[in-house]
Amino acid sequence: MVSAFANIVGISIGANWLILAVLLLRFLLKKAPRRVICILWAMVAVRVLLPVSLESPVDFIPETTSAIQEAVDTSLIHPETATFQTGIAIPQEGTSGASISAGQSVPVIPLVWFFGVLLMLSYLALRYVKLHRLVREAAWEKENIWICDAVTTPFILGLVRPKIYLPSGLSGTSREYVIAHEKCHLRCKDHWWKPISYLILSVFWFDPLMWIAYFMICKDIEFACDESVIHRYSLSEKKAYSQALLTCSANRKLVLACPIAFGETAVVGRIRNVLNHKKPGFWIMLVSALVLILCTIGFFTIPVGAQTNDSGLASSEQIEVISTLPPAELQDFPSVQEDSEEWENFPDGIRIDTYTGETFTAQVMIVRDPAKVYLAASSDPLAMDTPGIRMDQAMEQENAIAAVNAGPYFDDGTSSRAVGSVPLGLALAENDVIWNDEQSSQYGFVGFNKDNILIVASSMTEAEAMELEIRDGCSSGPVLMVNGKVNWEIYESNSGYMPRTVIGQRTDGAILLICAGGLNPDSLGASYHHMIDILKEYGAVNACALKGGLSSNMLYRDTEGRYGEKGTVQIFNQYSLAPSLRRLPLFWMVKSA
Amino acid sequence: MEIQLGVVESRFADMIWKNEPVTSSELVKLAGQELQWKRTTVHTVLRRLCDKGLFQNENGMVTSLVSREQFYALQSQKFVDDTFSGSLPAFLAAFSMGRKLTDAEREQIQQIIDQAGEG
Repeated sequence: MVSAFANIVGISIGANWLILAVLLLRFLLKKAPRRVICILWAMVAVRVLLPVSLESPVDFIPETTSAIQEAVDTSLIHPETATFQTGIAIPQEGTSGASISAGQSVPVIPLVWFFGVLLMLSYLALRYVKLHRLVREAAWEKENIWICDAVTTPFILGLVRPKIYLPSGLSGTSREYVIAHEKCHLRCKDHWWKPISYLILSVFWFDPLMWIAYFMICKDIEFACDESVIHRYSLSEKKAYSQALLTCSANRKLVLACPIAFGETAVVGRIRNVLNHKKPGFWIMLVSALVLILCTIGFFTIPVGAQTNDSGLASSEQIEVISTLPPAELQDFPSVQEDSEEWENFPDGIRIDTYTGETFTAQVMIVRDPAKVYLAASSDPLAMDTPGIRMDQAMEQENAIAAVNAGPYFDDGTSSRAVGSVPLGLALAENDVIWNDEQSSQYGFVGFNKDNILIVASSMTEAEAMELEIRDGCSSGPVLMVNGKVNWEIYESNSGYMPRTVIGQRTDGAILLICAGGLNPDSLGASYHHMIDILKEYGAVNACALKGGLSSNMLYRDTEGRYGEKGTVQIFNQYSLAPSLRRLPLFWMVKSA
Repeated sequence: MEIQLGVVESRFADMIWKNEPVTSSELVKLAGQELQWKRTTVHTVLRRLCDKGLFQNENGMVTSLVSREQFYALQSQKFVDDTFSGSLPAFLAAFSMGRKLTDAEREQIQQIIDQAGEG
């Protein structure tokens, strides 16, 4: 709902420019046939319904739109200012230890919007039901014309087989005028345009310009039909027509919502228009035609709304795209400025920042050289009957400088030694497949190719990994960022607060290993939303989640003595639920210099 | 007694007057053809007209309680009452203002007045 609303806001901003344009033209083209304005409105409607743009040299919409769009996106994406929390954190028994279902965060604004739409639609439905009940006792007159005792103003009801309903009191010439007017509506398909307009208004009910547009449309279609009916009339006939208008304007309230009613809107203005109507001259017709042509080109080439999708991955399908290092202009946000002094004080090429979020504390490890990051296995070969090892043991075994956990692993929920013995899916180390249970299509994948570019994908087979020349990698997910684009589905999902580990890469190649603690009274954990925010802040362009929960951890051999005695191994996450490190089959390691 | 009928209702009432006594199923068929009404609508309107005391429906046989002439006499009486405070001369004056009465019409009206005086 949140992403739907973001889209709607985007479209409404684009559509507002079109509405303003039509309102301006409407003012300038006062003398043109009103049908021209109706056609312009119809184009706006079509444009809102099909917010895809075609290429054209004519572009009417100012550049600022996308800036506003971004501002709106940001305010939606960071709904701190407009959220309410439902529920509290409840610890639950999970399969691998414990997990916490986090307080759900429901953005208020999209919810209000949704209920507004429901309200608008129920009003429409109510009106239709009421009118249908009213015309049940209508008697068939001729063709599609029915007369009814219960109605006081003529109107059209129905979409596929529209019927014209006339008040039974209407007779003589008035009746002929009214029928001519209503038949003009049917010819112009106004009985479609009006409900369509109302439906669009229902979705964009929060937009004042849409309301203005809706009322103008209602007015303009009436004016247009008046004009085409009185086209050939003499003044006395025009007067009689005006009289008919007046007669039928008595009860206007009932049919406001949708059906096209004869005496519905702006009766005074319409009478004035009818009496003053002159046949438009040649020049006015020419200008009108030109405006129509220009607007058709302009309107249908303006991108309306679609920005939201451009700036992110809307669905998991799009993650099939294998990552590369994208140029900065293709990214959601500018990459972090090259900073030659960044590494000055970090001779081991590893920088660790502490990031404090509202519900967690995370360590952000930046590894300058991606070639130093590799996948280490607990045993060779990996096997169910060979238990996994703890991360500190693995670091000693590898003589590595730093380590984080890798992807998901076998865990049947028991306390058997097989838990943590083998990974799930596919794993490669030093260009060799070290594990493949043929289930890798179920997981995402993250790894390095021979050029040390971090490859993330929604799935990966052995053959694909070979083709991509994956050096080290394992099944893991979900993918958080691809080529500078955020995976919005994950970003907006409610993933809950958990300890989480993610891996990412900046445009300069540096690797980000981020590990957020959690499941502790003083630190609940982080959601994917939080993790993506940190990744963005640190300039990641490709990123993937690793295993979260109690296996989530980061170890660092303190070569510089930043945390205490030189050379000791720093363990960043301590879990009161599981004091010792978990046995794991795979680790992402950083080679010492 | 004050009964008012809309244009559509009078059409339906005329249908009964013209065909009475008529079975309600016959009426459904007639109204279906002439007014394009559904069966339920016919029954709803029929019930309403019976409630007004215009017709009665006994075991599916519909007959009138008030004849067509009686009904329209009441309607015109009411019209004269409402619009001309019950004054027939005022009504006739207003009626003849817009158009000239033909000799034949004058003759007819004279007859009506004479008959009314005798009764």
